[in-house]
Amino acid sequence: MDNVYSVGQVNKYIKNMFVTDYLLKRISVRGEVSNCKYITSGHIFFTLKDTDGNLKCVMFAGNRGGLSFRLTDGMQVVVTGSVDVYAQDGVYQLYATRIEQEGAGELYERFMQLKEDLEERGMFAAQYKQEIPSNPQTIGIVTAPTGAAVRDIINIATRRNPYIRLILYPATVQGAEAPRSIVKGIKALEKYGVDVMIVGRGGGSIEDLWGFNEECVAQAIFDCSIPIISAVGHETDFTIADFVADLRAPTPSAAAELAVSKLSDIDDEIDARRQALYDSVSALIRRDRERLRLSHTRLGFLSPAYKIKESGERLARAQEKLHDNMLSLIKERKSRLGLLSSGLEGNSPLKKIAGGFAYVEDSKGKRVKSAAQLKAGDDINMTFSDGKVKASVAETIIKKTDDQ
Amino acid sequence: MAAGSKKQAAQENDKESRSLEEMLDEIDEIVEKLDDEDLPLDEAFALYSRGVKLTEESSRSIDRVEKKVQKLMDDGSTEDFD
Repeated sequence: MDNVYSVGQVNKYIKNMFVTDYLLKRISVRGEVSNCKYITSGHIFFTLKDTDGNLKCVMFAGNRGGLSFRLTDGMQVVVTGSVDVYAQDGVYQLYATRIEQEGAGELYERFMQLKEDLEERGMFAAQYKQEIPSNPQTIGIVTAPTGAAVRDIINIATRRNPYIRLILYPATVQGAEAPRSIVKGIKALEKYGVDVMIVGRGGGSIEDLWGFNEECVAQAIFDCSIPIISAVGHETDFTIADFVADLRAPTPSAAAELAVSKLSDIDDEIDARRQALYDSVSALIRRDRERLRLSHTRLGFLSPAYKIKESGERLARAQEKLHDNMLSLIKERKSRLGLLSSGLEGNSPLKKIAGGFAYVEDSKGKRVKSAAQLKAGDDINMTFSDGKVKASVAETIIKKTDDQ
Repeated sequence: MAAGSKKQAAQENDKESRSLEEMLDEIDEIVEKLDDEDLPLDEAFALYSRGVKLTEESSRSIDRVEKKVQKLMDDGSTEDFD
């Protein structure tokens, strides 16, 4: 057989036809999203369908900037991109670079128009913003009685303060009824009397949130004498209600946090003040006690009793000194006396004659110093250490020295 | 604004019940006065007992009764939510 081609050749040939087609290079297609899959790499795969058929679509992670909301099945969208062949599978698909919700453009126009209008009328001005009370007792909530938003608000509010009073106005927050229902809720809670109001709903498409972009809702928020915290959708959603509200919370949960102060914080605040009072007054008491102590001391120095005590002490000290001095004086004299008497003893004549010597006097009591003073027949007195002897001289023998 | 006049009206109606915030503010003022080193002790005691009374009142002013979430009906009545 002639003209038999490979799969690759055919796919390549068809791909070339698509690539060179001017219309397919940039095309916008309207349809309903189905089979939508976000995969971890960031790509989104989905199918666009209408009554006549299906068109496979992909938005690569790199083009995600062209999508400002979360794509879900059932959405009516307009996808802009190029139609090309994926040769591997032999299929053609729409490579999306931009996805818009059907009607979004028109709604956006209306939103901008109203925002500008209300801003001009001063409804967003800071001077009209009411302060959110720091310790509200009663919180009014205008939101749907079903869904995550009301649960989030109740959970967070009661977690922060289990004794808070929550009054819910079960409002319709989606569809044509929503604006009227929200306005009714705000007015009903104002009449009932709450300290602060949370008006909002959970996330959704721009159509879902549209009730909060209506002028009547904006006016009701503006006219309300009770402070209102708006809490519409997610962090990135901004509605007219957010601009008019006294405070915008990024989410319903955040609104509950902003509205309800933590009970433990309030308790801590009271405790801190109790402590501060005690500390301050304690310091004053310490100050006065110190003053009293000083005065007491000073007074003591000046008192007669102190003077007497002081004189008494002086007297006692003087007496003691006197006594000490006297004692040392006596001691000194005593030791001097001892020294002197021992000196005297050494010089006593009696001492000299002890041990066999005697002191000799003549009859007239004159000291005899030499034999020559005496001659036979003279009376003499001899004094020994233990007594006296009277004697007569028998003979005197004078020693003859050689040199005489 | 309307909220302001409403608050005022509430105060005139019931001078006894002051907001927690107002009481805490007054305690702060008392503490500030007590920090004056030249304050005579008798004045200090008078201020202190006033302050303690206020802390007790503040503590008491916190309603410690758990409440059921109420649903406000269009006729102005309420019923338990859930």
